[in-house]
Amino acid sequence: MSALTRTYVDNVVSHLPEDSRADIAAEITATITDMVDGRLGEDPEPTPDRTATVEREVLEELGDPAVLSREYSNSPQHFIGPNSYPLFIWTLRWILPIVGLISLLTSIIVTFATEPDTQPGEAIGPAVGSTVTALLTTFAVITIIIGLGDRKLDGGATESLRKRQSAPWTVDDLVPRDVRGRQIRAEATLGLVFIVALAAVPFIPTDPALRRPPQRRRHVHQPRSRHRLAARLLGIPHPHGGN
Amino acid sequence: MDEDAERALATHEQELRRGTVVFASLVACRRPQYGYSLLTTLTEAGIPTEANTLYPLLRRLEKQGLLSAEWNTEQARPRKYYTVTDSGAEVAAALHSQWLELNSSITKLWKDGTP
Repeated sequence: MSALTRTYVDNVVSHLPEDSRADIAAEITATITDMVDGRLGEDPEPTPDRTATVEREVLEELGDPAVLSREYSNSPQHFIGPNSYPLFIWTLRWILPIVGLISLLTSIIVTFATEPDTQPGEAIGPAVGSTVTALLTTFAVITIIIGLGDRKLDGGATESLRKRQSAPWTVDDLVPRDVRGRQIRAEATLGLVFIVALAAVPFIPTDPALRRPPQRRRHVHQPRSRHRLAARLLGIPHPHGGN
Repeated sequence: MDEDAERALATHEQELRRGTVVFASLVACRRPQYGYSLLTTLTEAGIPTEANTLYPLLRRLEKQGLLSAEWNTEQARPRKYYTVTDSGAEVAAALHSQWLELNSSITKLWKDGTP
């Protein structure tokens, strides 16, 4: 066995389970030698050059050792396969909007509960930020759990979920749908929401300090007092000039 | 045939052949075969097979209990011989009858569709 063949075989078996390595290595080695001999044919005294060329041909025909190794290990070459994909999409569709809504509301409520005189505009940034984080985390968790389920490594959790999701389909499951009408309505609503949201941007109050004359800026860092909030609520002009 | 059709043909041909390699291997292994001998047997029989799909396939069939494997160290070069098991022979027979059925169905369908 030449050094080239040995390197090739080592590359194939290095990613395989240890208990099958020796056997597969011996088998591939024997096969490569057979293939080389088969190609050299009846030539009784092949030159070393010719043998080396034929060996290269044979190894190239067998192809990338990583691919051959995957063929041997027969492990799935995907994370979420066709069996789990519908469950994956179904879960995302239900869980992500719920998580997004909860995270948005929680963040806004928490902001106003801890700092009552926060301007609504100031709450938007952190709320969007924490919602994006929450959504990404949820996405990762769902993907990992269902990916493990695809390999049956999750103790049957996704299997039970799948049963709940889809009993065998019957005609009774058909729901009448007005797809076209709904789409038009949805588009119109979405368009309206965006127009209103964009139009409202200039009016959303943000940091009041930004609207104060520059010489007043040093007051910004004074401890925020409840008096100011009370004054604002009651419409009494605040001594520092804030509204 | 244009390029798209050729590509589609290649895909469909591959799918058509994929299942036949298993069947052909089971049939050929009624006599003990080692990897390279099986490859040449199949090629000579007109079922050319890629070496890198055939060898892993043999191990999978062994795991499924359709082939039994044994190292023969009596010859100058030790080789792993695969022989079809009883259940493998049953599977091969079932596949064979399916093959014949499909063949007659396709032949009939082809004749009916030919003007």
